[in-house]
Amino acid sequence: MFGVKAFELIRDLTLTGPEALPLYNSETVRQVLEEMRVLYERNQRDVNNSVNEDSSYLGTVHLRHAALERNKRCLLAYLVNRLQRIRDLRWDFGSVLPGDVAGSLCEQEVQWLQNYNRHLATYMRGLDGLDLTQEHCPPKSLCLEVRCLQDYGLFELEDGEQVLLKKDSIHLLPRSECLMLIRQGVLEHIPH
Amino acid sequence: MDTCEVEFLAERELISITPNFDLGVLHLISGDFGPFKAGLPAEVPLWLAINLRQRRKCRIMPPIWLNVKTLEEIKERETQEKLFTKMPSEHFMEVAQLLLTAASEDIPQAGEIKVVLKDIWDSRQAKTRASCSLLLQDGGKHARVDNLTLMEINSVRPLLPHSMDMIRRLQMESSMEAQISQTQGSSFASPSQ
Amino acid sequence: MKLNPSYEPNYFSLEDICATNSAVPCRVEMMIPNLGEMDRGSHSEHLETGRRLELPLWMAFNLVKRHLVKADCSKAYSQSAREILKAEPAVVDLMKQEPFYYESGVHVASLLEPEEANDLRKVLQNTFQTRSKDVISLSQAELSKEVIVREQLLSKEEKTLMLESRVKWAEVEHWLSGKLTSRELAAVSVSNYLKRKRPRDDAE
Repeated sequence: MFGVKAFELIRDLTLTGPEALPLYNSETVRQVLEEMRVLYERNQRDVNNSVNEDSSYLGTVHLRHAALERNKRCLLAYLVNRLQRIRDLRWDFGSVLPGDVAGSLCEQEVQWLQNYNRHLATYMRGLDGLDLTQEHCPPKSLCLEVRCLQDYGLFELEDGEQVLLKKDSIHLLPRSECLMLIRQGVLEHIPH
Repeated sequence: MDTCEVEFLAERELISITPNFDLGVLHLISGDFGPFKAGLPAEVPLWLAINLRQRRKCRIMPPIWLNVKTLEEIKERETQEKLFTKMPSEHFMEVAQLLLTAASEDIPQAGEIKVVLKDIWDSRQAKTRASCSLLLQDGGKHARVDNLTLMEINSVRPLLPHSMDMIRRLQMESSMEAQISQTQGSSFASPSQ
Repeated sequence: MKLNPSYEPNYFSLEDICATNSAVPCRVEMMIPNLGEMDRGSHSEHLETGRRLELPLWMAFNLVKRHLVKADCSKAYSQSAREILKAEPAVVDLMKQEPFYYESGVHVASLLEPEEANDLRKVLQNTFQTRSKDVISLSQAELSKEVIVREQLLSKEEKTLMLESRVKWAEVEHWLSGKLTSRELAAVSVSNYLKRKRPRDDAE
């Protein structure tokens, strides 16, 4: 049946939560495009057959055309929803996605993300360098007490001071400088 | 709107403090505050009051309604009335919550206050749930939310508005697919995020 | 902070693509040449007039509009299914009937004759309204065996509303206990990402 392969792509995205990004399914995308090529060619042939006032093929042409449109919708929805998820992940994790996530992107998506990063950076530079992605909620304090979850090594603060981030060590760090490390799982916030 | 944003809005409420330091006028985005003189009461935004209190720079004077007697009266009225009664502050729960966490020593009978507040909150939440339920079952298209505070409205989001949107869509005549097949071939509106 | 607008179907929405993928029984009204392959029960080269076969909603839409096929109610929306929903909307397992019961139902309605379509639309609306009470109570209930069983009766649309609402109640409860600041930071981290990347239990 037409459109079954294309629906597999959509199913791929619905099997995980909306925040997760499954591996780019290039093989299925290729198969969908192939199905579309065949549909298109057969329609071309039947359209040519119908030219001599024989309208009996019109139904066939319409049906195949509906299948073409459906495949197109599934393909575009697959790509658009993936881009939206990648964008959301960018806001969560910063400009460098964790390896596990980055491996799920296809080449064009990597390219898109680079462009998106560039636009975002340009926009934020226009706001006196304000990092819009840092706080998702109104912040409560300037400093955070954090526990180190892994041996990270030396970490240099903006004022030049160096902190040794060793596993299980506890630090009081400026909020803006440790938020990204918390998201990356290097540090853990100790709530009061 | 998220719970932390509602709390953020509540932190702009003004409150009286007694500072233990001297300082000139503070020019903040929300206005000018001060000058501060040790021992003399001054009015500041709640977030500033809590910040100063945490650094032991001031004592907080609780709002006039934040005492057991007043709250007991409010509770009494709330449990008797069928509808929501008016609360002493648009942000009563957030203000109380913030003060009881950061400055409970400045508030007499803080423990009892917590209990009464919880009772008021619970009784209002019960009303909220019951009326949401009723509204959706009757397929109501609008609701009066007199005397509901922002935090309470926040607590029924997104369930109530999203369910009402769903009912509205089910009432509509034509489906999305019908619209799509009519516009097929032309460009489509970009997805709403 | 992510905005959470209510669901509105659009060209790119995964939900709507899923909802339009469910099958409806159709009868071929006019022979469609060369597409006999679509009809597994027949060896004809063409899709012959009078043949009955199940077609996905998205395809039925196009063919019904051109009077090439006539669509019928699938079992989930049949007269008898509607009668049950009129009598006892709360106890029907919508998920089993059709995952996006309401969304697919609206689509099915637009394929039917006006009278039947109106009846279906009314049933969908009444069912949703009556069951919304359950959605609210489930979103606040303590997790128990009984709650889990009742949850499984919800359609995808209802389940989304219920889960969103459950997250909100938990968030407000968490705030009441005075721990909001830690939650705000815990929401995003790599380890949470790995947790949520696992397939959901409710995925088909």
